[in-house]
Amino acid sequence: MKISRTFTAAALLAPAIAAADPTVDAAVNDHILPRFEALVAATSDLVAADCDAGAAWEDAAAKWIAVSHLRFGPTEVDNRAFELAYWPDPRGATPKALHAMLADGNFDVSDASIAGRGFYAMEFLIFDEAFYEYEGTCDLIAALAEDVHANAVAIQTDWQDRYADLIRDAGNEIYRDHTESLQEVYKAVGTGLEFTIDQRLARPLGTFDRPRPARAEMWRSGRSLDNVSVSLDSLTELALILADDGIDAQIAPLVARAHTQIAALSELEGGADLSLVENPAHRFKVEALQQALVDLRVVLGVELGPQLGVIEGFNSLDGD
Amino acid sequence: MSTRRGFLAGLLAAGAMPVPTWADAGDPAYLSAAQVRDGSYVLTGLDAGGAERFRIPLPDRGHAAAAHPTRPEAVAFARRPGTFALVLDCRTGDILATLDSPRGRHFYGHGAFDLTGDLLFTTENDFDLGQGRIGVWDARNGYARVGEFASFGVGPHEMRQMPDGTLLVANGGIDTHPDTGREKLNLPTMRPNLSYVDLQGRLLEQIEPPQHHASVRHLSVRADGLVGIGMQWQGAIHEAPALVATHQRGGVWRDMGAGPALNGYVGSIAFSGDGDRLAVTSPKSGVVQVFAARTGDLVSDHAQTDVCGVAATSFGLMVTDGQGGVSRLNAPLQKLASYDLAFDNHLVAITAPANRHQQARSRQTHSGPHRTPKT
Repeated sequence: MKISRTFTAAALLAPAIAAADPTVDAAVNDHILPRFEALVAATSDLVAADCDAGAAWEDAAAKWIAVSHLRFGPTEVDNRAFELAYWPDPRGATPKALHAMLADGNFDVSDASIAGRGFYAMEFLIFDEAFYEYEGTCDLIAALAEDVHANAVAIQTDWQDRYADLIRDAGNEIYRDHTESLQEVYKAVGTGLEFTIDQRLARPLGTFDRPRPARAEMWRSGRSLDNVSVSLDSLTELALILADDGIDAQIAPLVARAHTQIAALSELEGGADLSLVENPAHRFKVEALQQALVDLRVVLGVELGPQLGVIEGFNSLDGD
Repeated sequence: MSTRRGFLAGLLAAGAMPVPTWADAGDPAYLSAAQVRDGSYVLTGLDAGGAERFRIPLPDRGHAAAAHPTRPEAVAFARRPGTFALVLDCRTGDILATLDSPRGRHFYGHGAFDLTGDLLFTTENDFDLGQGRIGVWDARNGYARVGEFASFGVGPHEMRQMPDGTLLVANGGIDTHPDTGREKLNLPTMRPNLSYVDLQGRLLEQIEPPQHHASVRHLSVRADGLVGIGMQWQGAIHEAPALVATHQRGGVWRDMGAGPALNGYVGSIAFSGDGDRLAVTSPKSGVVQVFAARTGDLVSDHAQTDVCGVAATSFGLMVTDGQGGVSRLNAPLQKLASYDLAFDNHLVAITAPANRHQQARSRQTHSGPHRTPKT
């Protein structure tokens, strides 16, 4: 006890050496910062694309999906993430907000309802014929692109100037120690995977008797399946940073299985937008993909969580 | 089933057989939903010493329960967004009635009887409108649904009966829709509140917490009408404000404690049997915190992994956890029993020995500023 205290005191007296945890450091440097940088670059292109935004929107939306699991810190300030991505939207608030803005001709986006902003709102304007008839659609696309870009820049700047050091160095009011930093990043992998399982896949699957293809994420642009793939890639990148070699070896084959299933689905008609959930002959392939991700989630919870000091309890996970 | 139910109801109505009481169910003092190690779900009855008196299977994960004030009947509510609640005969485990939420509604996992036990009230979501409702069920008539009214907010969660027979509802403020599971749809604009409502569904009084991201979820009511409030923070944990508060009708909202120590999350709340202390649990930080009800000072802090259920004993408090433990809240925690169960969020006190005690005590001693005039 005495020895360790002396040692700690000596360490405190030593010249300030940033005591970054190498794993958290890698998560920040090799995953979080570059992924947000890519989002900023893509939204910059989206602004430049002006009205002819289809391809630029697709790229930027994919870059958002790749960070959509990083819901802590800078994304949660001032509702930034909600302003970028209002989905799922079970009551159809997004098209309502857009019709209202177009009818009023008021494109001051910062005044608008959150549902009328961000990537999902832009998808309606670009890919849904119902919005082609308005005169102002093009101007609204431009205004939303600027808004999206400003938000992406705000998140990136916040990460660079403030939050990267907080989570890397720990020992502050947000992360008391590196275990808490690691747990934050770990939780992001788990919740990201659950979002794909419970929302991106379960929503369109509905039930066998009542599949709900129009509930797929970004089905209008045909991005539904690709979003699953993009998210899985990004989550895998982060999980492999966190996991030790033994767990890497368990994660890799499950991810490979899921990617094989995604590739097979993408070859099928109705694969890209997941509308094949209505086809009894193919629907099970979406269910199998979902199961692969559930299996991956179990490995993370049972193996990776405890490695990082996270025990997921019956009540602590409940959230009610 | 319906024949048997009709038969029982008929007998009860005719007074042709002795009216069963909780003593016939082994005198349990508490109810708790739980998960058995094999993954199945049950409702358990525990006595005052933590011994298990019954275990009744549930078809899916429960949440809280409501105990009939006199008859040995428990209503086990499905976990949000469940659509069923079961009325169980705690002597036999028989299902006396099944409550199905009406089309367009789901339950939130909580409910409360009126003082007589004639009516049962349930918190519900009108999910197409995103508005909270209170369902009304007639416990004298096979738990038929007889009406509903507004909860006066979004996302009502726990509800309680006030000592004067009116109702208290925690409107969490969070909009969810069964199509999106438990996904929170309105965090930027959420507006939680505490609503006092009469049995006809009229709003008597309403108060909002100081910060609109503090979702008002869990309630405990003292015999003199002081309300303990447990909240859940929807934001960065280090920014969480106080998440425990008290309120009395006509009075001010009084915060206590610090949200970060609870990991931004209160799982359950209960006044002690003597009414002097207010305990909250946070399974997310694995602690029970106990406050002095009068001053709001933190008086003790107990670590227990996955702790969540908390309820009054005749003088003190009892807690349950997700690892099967039942403990008395002494310092340190005194483990009374351990089961092959994960106790779910809420430990529900059945009878009112504690309340009777509280009432007696409050008549004797609570003549000061905490006495509220009834309206």
